[in-house]
Amino acid sequence: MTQPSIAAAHDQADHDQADVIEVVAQLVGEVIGEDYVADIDIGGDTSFSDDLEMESIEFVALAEALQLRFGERVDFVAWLAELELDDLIEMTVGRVAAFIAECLAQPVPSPQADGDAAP
Amino acid sequence: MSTATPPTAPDRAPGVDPPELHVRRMGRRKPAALPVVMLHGAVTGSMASWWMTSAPHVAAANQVVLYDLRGHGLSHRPATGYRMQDHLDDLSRVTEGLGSFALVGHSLGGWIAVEAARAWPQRVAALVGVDIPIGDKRPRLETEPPTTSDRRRHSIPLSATSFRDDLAAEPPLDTVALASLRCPALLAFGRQSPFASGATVARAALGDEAVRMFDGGHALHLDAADAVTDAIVRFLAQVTSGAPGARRG
Repeated sequence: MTQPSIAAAHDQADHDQADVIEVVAQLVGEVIGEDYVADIDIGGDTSFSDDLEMESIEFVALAEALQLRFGERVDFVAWLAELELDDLIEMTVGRVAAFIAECLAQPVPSPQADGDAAP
Repeated sequence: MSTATPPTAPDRAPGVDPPELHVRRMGRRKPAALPVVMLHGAVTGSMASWWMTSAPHVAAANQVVLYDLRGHGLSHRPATGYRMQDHLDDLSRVTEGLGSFALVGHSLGGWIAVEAARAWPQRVAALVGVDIPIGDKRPRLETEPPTTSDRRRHSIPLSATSFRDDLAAEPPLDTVALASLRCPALLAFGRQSPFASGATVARAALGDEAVRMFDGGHALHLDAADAVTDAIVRFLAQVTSGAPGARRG
């Protein structure tokens, strides 16, 4: 089996991120209501605060929905700990999607490697 | 979203169900570390104010429980029932099965935390209050701006509930109330906050070491997020290790 080229790997990454953006857009609609997003074309550049007028608590609800959808491989808590408040205020759909796509591209950790697991 | 299951409450009037609360946990339960319940402030506050600032850092060592106070965030908004006892009942539901725990609260959330620590000295093992209302200072209850989120979530604005009147009917925190605390406590105030005068009362009641001042206004956990987070994390670590400075009573 031949290795995929770097360009092909990039294509795959872009494709994955586009898929994730679609999921994020769908969940945004579920969180704030389809009526509110009906006239908005949600894409990577869409800002949660300026374009979607989402409030912080709705962002929390979106993160909950994304966590449910993508599971523990997407560690929002660790990500949040690294972000400044301004980063969160200026957050876009694309940035969240890129983070999720990056998490999903990581190999699934084996259960034995989890030092926090209960004995 | 997870919700707290209303427990049997024999002293509650029949037919009045406690409101559904939006609850979220961060991090795993760690045997050596206290679970930490974080309470937000009134009106414009929600669990997001901790979720986006200190909670992820506290969750590195302690399991964190966040919830939206009744009438706020994604929790239910009843028309009435905002007395301190109502808030304590909610906190009791949220902490069911948690054993002993630490409380961290901003403004009204800190007031609720102090009253909980006084009411349940066996369960509340540590307390952090951030710019809490003391004496004639009351939580800021100005009419909330008509927000998009509120229009989506609640059929009535908070100002149309008994929230303001119910809180105004509560006796304020004073020296006696603070001095009756039996758990290690840390009270943080913003130097530019209208609540800063509470620091004098807090020092008289709890001693200088229990009070810290930070540069910032009433939204101190946002204005001085890094410094306040650091103080909370260090204080909880001190309590966990049983350091002498963190013990009272």
